[in-house]
Amino acid sequence: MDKSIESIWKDGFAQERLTIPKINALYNQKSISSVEHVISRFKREIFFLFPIAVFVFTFNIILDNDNAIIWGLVGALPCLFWFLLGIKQLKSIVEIDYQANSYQYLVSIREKLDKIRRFNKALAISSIPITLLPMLVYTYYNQKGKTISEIFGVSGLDWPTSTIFLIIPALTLVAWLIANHFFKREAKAQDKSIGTLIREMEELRS
Amino acid sequence: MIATKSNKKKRYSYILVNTSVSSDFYIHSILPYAGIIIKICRAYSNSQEDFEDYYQEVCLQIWRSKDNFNDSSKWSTWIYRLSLNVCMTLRKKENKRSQPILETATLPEIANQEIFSFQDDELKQLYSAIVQLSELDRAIIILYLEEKSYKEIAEIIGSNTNNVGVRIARIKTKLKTLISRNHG
Repeated sequence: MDKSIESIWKDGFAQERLTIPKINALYNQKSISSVEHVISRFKREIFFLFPIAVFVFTFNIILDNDNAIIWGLVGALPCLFWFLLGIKQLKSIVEIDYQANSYQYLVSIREKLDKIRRFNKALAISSIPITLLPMLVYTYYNQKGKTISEIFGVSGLDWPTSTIFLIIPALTLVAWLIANHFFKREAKAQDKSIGTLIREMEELRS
Repeated sequence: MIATKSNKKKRYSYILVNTSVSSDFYIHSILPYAGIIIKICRAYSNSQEDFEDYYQEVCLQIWRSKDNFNDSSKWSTWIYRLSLNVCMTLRKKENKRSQPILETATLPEIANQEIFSFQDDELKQLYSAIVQLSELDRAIIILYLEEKSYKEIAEIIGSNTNNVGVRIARIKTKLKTLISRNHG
C-alpha cells in the first residue's frame, strides 16, 4: 500500500455515499429500558419480602417461646400479605396496554405506579392501628389492673393499663415516618427514569 | 403471573415513537457536521444497528446539551467533543456487557469482521485498522484525517498540541503496521 493514510481517507470517502440514519427509534428503546428497570426494581422489592417472612417465622421457632408456631405465623403473615399484594400489583403494571405510542404508555405506567404507591403508603400506615387495636384490647382486658412494667416485664414504667393504647399513635407515627421516607425514595427513583423520559418527550414535542 | 420475556418482546414490538429532535435544529446545527459524526460513530460501533443507535444518541445528546454550549469554543469543536464522549461512553457500556465474549476473541478477528461495507478496499482496510486502536487514538486519528488542526484536536480531546503531534506520528506508524499485517 503506497498511498498515505490521508489520501486513502480523502479519496475513499469521496467515493463513499454516507447514509445518515433516521432519528426515530431512540425513545422506543429508552422507554423499554426504563419500564423494564422499574419493573425489575419492583420485582426485587417484592421477592425480598418472601425470605423475610421465612426468617421471621424461623426466628420465632428458634426462640422457642410458648405458641412459637402461632407467633411465627402472626409475624410472617404481614410479609406474606405484602408479598402477595406486590405480585398482584406487579401483574397490573405488566398488563398495561400500549395506547398510541410509548409516551402514552409511559404516562399510564407512571399513573399506575403513583396509584400503587399512594395505596401502599396509606395501607402501611393504617395497618398499624388496625392490627394493634384488637391485640391491645385483648391485652387490656386480660391484664387489667397491672402496670405497663408488669405487663411487659420492664422496670420504671408504673403507668396504668389504659396507657397501653398510647402504643397506637406512637407506632403509627413511626410507621408514617418510615413509609414517608421509603415511598419518597421510590418516587424519586421512578421520577429519575420514567419521569425524566416523559419530560424529555414532552419537551421534544413542544 | 409475571410476563415472560417473549410476551414482553411481543408487547414492546408495537411501541411507536412520534418524537424526534426538532427538525430545524437538526438541519441547521447538526446536519452540516453529520459526515464526521457518522465517521466517528462508525469507528466506535460494532454493527450497522449499533452505528444507528450511536448516531441517534449523539444527535439527541447534542440537542439536549445545546444550552450548555458557550462561545469559548467553536460549535463544531463542541459537537466533535460531545460526539466522541457519547461514543466512548456507549463503547464502555458495550464492552462491560460483552466482556466475556471479547476476552475470547482477538482484536484482529473483530476488526476483520465485515462490519461496514466500504466500496473502496483501501478505505476498508484503513477503517479495520482504526477500530483496532485505543479509543482515544481512534478519536485523534479521525479528527486528524478530517483535517482538524492540532490545536483543535487538542481542544477537543483536552490535551496540548505537542502531545497531539507526537501521538499522531505514533498512531500513523501503528496504523501502517496494522494495515500491512491485516493485508499480509
